[in-house]
Amino acid sequence: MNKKYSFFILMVGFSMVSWKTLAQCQPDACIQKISDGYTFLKTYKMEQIGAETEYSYVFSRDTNYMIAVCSSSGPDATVKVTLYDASRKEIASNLDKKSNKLYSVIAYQCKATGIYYLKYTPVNQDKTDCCVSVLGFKK
Amino acid sequence: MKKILFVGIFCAVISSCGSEKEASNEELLLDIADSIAMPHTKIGDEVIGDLIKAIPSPLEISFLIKETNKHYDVSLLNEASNQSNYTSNFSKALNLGVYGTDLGYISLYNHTADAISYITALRDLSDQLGIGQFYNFEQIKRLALNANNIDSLLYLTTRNFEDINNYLYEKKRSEQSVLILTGGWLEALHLSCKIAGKTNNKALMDRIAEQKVTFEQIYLMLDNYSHDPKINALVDRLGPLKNVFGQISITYEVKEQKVKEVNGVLSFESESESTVHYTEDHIYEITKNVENIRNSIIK
Repeated sequence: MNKKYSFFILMVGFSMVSWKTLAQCQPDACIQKISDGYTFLKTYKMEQIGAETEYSYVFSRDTNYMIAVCSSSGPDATVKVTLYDASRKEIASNLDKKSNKLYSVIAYQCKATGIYYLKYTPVNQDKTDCCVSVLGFKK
Repeated sequence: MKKILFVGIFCAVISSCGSEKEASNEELLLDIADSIAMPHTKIGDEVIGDLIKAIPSPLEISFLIKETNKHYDVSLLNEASNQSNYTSNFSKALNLGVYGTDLGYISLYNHTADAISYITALRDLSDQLGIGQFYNFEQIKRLALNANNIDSLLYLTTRNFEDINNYLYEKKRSEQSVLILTGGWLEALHLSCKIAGKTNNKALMDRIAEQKVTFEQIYLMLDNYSHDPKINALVDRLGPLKNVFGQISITYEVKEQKVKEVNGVLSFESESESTVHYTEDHIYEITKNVENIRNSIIK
């Protein structure tokens, strides 16, 4: 096998791996993690890996929300999402404090209308090149 | 970090609950304005971009409308043929939002025959605003014609609006995003008020009163662009609505919550509740004012 041919194979292989990992960060791929019955609402992106990113959204009472987190590392979450209410009280997170497990999807049954904050924090920066999160709702 | 702090301050101010708390928050806002010694409180583009993302989708109200009223009524919508009346970018952006909400309503009721004319109106207005490239109209049309594709249609149209907002933000045209959101929100409120007037449904009336939270964010953003005479006139027209929402309060009772794993999803069931305090007169006043504002927008 000559050098040119080997280099070509290597580049194609590298491109495919890169495409696959970056595809995890596309909303179209991430929405697949949201369960049936939920309707897509918003996409959130981490502006800069390594820095915390925060967004807000008005949640409504008697509505179920689902948040999926997708990063370049594959199906396992490497970014922590924390949900705070209007008074900045932590009310949900994809990091289960008992088991220390990081979930890629959380659901929140809302009974209080108001502004909520979603904060994204990288947990394993070495494995994360990009991160996208989607929010869905169900009545 | 500055951005988070700034959004936090504004959101803390506008998410106030009781009237006493509102007074103190207004003082806080004045204090902040004084401390940064600016003659006019101008919100930065980045903060506006974050506030835009915070505005709830009109789809949430549309689902509630469908839940409370099974009867589809096309006469409640802005006629698609009105599209040719909109000549300024101001009215085009507002009515792009109006038609977006109308298309969501039509889709939820599976009235595909009506959907096509609204998709066409959306295409024409977005083309005229230079944002038509974000719509794949053939794909949207194909999805709209099949009742089994409603989820895909709602996903695609919501993503299109997100792409438009991102594009307008990059092009420093966020005021058009704010107008699109305002039109969409007003149309959803108009539909809610009309259905609530017919059904007296408490859940819908609660949701109308709770629009206080979203209204305050929209008002804040519009007011930021009040140097534009047309937007300034719209802010003036929103004045009576601001007055009514100012009389409505939301209180919160914090309780424990349950956490469990369901099919690989970590689920939180909150027992904390909000209560919105309003009277039927408030709903009547909101309905009346929304109709006045909407009529001035869609004419």
